[in-house]
Amino acid sequence: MNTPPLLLASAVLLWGMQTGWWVAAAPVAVALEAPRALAVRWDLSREQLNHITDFCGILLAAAALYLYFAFGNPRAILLTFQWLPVVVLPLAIAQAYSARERIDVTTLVWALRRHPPRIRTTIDVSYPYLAMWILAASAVEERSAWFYPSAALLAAWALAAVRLRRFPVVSWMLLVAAAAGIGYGIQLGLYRTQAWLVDVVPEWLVASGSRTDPYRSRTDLGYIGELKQDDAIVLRVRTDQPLSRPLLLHRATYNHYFGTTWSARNAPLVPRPPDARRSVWKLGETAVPAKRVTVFDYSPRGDPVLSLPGGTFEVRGLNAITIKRNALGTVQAEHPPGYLTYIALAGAATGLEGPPDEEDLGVPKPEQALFGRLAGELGLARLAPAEVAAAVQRYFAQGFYYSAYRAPSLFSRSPLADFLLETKAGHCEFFATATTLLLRAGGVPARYATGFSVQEYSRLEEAYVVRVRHAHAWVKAYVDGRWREIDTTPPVWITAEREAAPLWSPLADLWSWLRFQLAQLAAREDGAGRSIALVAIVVLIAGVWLAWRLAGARRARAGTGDASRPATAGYPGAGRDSEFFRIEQYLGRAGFPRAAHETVGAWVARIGAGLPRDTDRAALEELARLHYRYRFDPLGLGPDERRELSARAHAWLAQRARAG
Amino acid sequence: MWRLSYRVFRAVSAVTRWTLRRLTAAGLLVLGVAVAAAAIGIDTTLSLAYQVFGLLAALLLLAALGLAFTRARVAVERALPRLATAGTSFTYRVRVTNLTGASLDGLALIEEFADPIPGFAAFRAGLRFPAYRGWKRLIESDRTVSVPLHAVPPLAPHATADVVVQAHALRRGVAHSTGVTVARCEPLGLARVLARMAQPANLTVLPRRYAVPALDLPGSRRYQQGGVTLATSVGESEEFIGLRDYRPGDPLQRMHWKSFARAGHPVVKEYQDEFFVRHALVLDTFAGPHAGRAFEEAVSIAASFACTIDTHECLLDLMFIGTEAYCYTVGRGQLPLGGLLEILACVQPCRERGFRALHDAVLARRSELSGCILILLGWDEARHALVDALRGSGVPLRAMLVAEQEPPARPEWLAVVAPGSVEQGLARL
Repeated sequence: MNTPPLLLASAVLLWGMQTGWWVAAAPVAVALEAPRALAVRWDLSREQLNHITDFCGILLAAAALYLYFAFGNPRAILLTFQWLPVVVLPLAIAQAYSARERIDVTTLVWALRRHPPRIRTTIDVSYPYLAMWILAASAVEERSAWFYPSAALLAAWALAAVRLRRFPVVSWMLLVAAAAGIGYGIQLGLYRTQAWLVDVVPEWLVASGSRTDPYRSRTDLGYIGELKQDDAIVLRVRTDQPLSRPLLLHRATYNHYFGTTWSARNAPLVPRPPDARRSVWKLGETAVPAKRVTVFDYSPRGDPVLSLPGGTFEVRGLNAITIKRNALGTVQAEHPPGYLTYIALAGAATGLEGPPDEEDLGVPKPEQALFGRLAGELGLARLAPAEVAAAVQRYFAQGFYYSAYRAPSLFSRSPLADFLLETKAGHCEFFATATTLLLRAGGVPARYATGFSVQEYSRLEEAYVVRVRHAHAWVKAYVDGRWREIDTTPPVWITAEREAAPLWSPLADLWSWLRFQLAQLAAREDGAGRSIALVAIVVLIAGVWLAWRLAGARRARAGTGDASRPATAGYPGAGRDSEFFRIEQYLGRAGFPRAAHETVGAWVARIGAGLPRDTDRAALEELARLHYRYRFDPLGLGPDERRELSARAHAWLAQRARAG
Repeated sequence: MWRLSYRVFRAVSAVTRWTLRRLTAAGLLVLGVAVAAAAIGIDTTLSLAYQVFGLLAALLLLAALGLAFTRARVAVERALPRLATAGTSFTYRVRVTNLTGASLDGLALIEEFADPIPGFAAFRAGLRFPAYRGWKRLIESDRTVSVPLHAVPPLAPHATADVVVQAHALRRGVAHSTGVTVARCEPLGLARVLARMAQPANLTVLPRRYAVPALDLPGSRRYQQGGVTLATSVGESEEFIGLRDYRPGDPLQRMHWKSFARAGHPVVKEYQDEFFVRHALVLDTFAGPHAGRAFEEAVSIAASFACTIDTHECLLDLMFIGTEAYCYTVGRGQLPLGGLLEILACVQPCRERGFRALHDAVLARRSELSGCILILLGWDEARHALVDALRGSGVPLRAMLVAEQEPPARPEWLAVVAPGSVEQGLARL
């Protein structure tokens, strides 16, 4: 490698420090620096380097596919970058230990192998490889105070090699230090800018619908226009009995509304004690399980909020580090990113959610007048809580309809006022928020709940599939001493969402199913599944590659002008069935044997003079010429020439037989 | 879509060229890694790649600032050769003088040959579908000369250094250079400031030549109407045989003025008629839209024949059709061989006229020809008719077809030369 001594090793060790893979980093660092001390060099041909590059390419494709299936994006992308330098290590080692200091660009770019540039171009992969290690070291989630200074030091070390000699060293060092300082400011600014953006930009823009914040839920109540929802599958659900009506899978509940955002106030997440096996997590008092629901979830960033049916008192089969629950019934698992499976046991359990408090009766000041007037019109103050709930449900069942579109309002009032007084149309967030606040105005404690509506059964998956567009919001009302789920959104929303599904949805589902199956295979507890998945991916890629190479070879052969020429033309052993051998045998028997060391041409020339006068020597020479081409010409003989060789050989033998 | 693609590709090419000239190898690596880091670190909560991006962006920013304080005050004298041959490398010398009182390093030279950006018509005709790879291929196939960037050794105050620049002549044609650009790195060594020195010059790249086997070009000497005015005294020397009366068409130079004055009517000098061998080298320029490679090889083959045939004792007419019918004669004091190669360096495919023009031009001269070498780019009825007419008039003919594939009904006497394996094809002649 042409980098300064120990620079590359330092970058590898930084990667080891960041990823914790010291076991891999240490030997790699030694292997990359060892050629400076060793005199051993390999004389690798271009073809060998091509094969090494192909191997690295296959390895990269296999690793990327495996990571994608096992972890999904964006983690798979990060992990691919994280392991990229290890994957291309064979090529780096090849350059480090090769007698050549540079690698031909055609080795690295497959397309250039078929159409090489007119001027041979070589590149030194040392510095790009160094950059790859630094980039790989950065592809980790854990914050480290050491990373930035280390990376800056390595960059300065590398830049010292291209430093202008006329420029004073001190000035150069000051310049690099200034760059490091400015860079620190830039990266800090980027980090803070994203944090600010997350706060101000609507949730559907910055995160997928499968992600839930247990503390806050920004609604799309203020959003003008058509609300587009993703069709991607986020959950797979198996129930012990077929569902007669949609099942609501609860994720998070919020008790405080301000602006257009719901948040969970005074509801910290508290860890739940696991059982001895750490796979059964009790959320409340054990009850008789009325429902047993298996959920196949996927968490791209880890620490997911679990999707559980109402009344879940126990979660089984989840290998989480810990599980936390808050007083509002939200359950979050501490779990690495990727697929996770859990079984929820639900029943008439108690103690799952805390009793109502003042927050559950609060109506934000800007909405108080509106909801007070509405509660008065409905006469909610005179009714018992159960009657209030029924009255509110009746109110929203008449004259309100579902719409994902919201037109700009002519009046400067809140989206909720617009919904209740003007449009009477909105999506589930409008219904759930308005219902919650109306119940509170009527004196019934209520909370805003989010989650998914399980309703679509997939024959392919043999399970219910839950898509992003199945995300739903409803209300939990405290009636008769317990929390009841109230959903005032017109059921037509399911149909409306289904009609919005894109045409390619079945294909996307098939791909999702394939990914899920491979992920399930990889996640098998015996560990064999991971190997099987990896081997399957490698075999798949190798098979595609082999088929491609074979097709390429066939095309190349076809390109020689005659696709019908034998595939073995020009290879050792080709043309063994040549009829000329019969002539050779005949002449051998007639006293003109060919010596073992003699070529056919030399033999024909030697015996020519001694052959009987009536022998057609010209024909024999022509046959020998055809025979040579049949055996040794890389292009072989065409079908016509092959027939000619056979016919003329038989004719020659027949002529000799007639002559006696 | 084609128009939009053309504009996009053109813009991308311009940006790429701009970037490649202004960034050093280290700068390009920093830029590339910064882009990759930006892509990976787009979500700052997922990885630390944004920190790498911040660092590299700061380096590039300071490098850009550094350019404002970097100057390349040097004088350059460049001796670009006038001729080169396609497929070969050549060198020339550039003298660089430091005009400042301080030492200079980090200098490099860029020869300013323009990028052969294809026009929209060529882009549309040259590609089956608009892809950037195809666009690059078009540019590369039209590039005449490639001169890599050359580093200049560090210069002491007011010192001069000679740099030997090695260049590659890629294809025939005339390359115009507007001058030399001196690039100088800023202190971090990532970016360059450019100073252009206008020194316009042309470089003619002659066609690639192949070894041609000794050809037996049969044919007797033919009467040459122009007589010795077309030849030197080598071989059939000029010989005065007498005077005769003027006939319309006689050149004025042959007028014998004394006899004219004496006789009262025009009298001209008469010389012995000239007979010598004259061969025609006929180049088919009617290339199809996708026969660019075959056309180039055909020109190379023509150049190879022109160089191989001994023109001390015979004449060689190069005939082809461009905007009009051209015929250039080499040998016996006519056009020198170098001139013919320069003409071949500039031959372009003919799109405006039909093959009939070549047919007529060749047949108009058939009575003067001792033999004919015909280099064809296709085998159709028009070409067949020309060959039949030449054979019918008794002109010995060697015809060869430069094509990727053999025609279905190839006559035995028609040699087929495949582009890419011309030497093997010529060896079989």
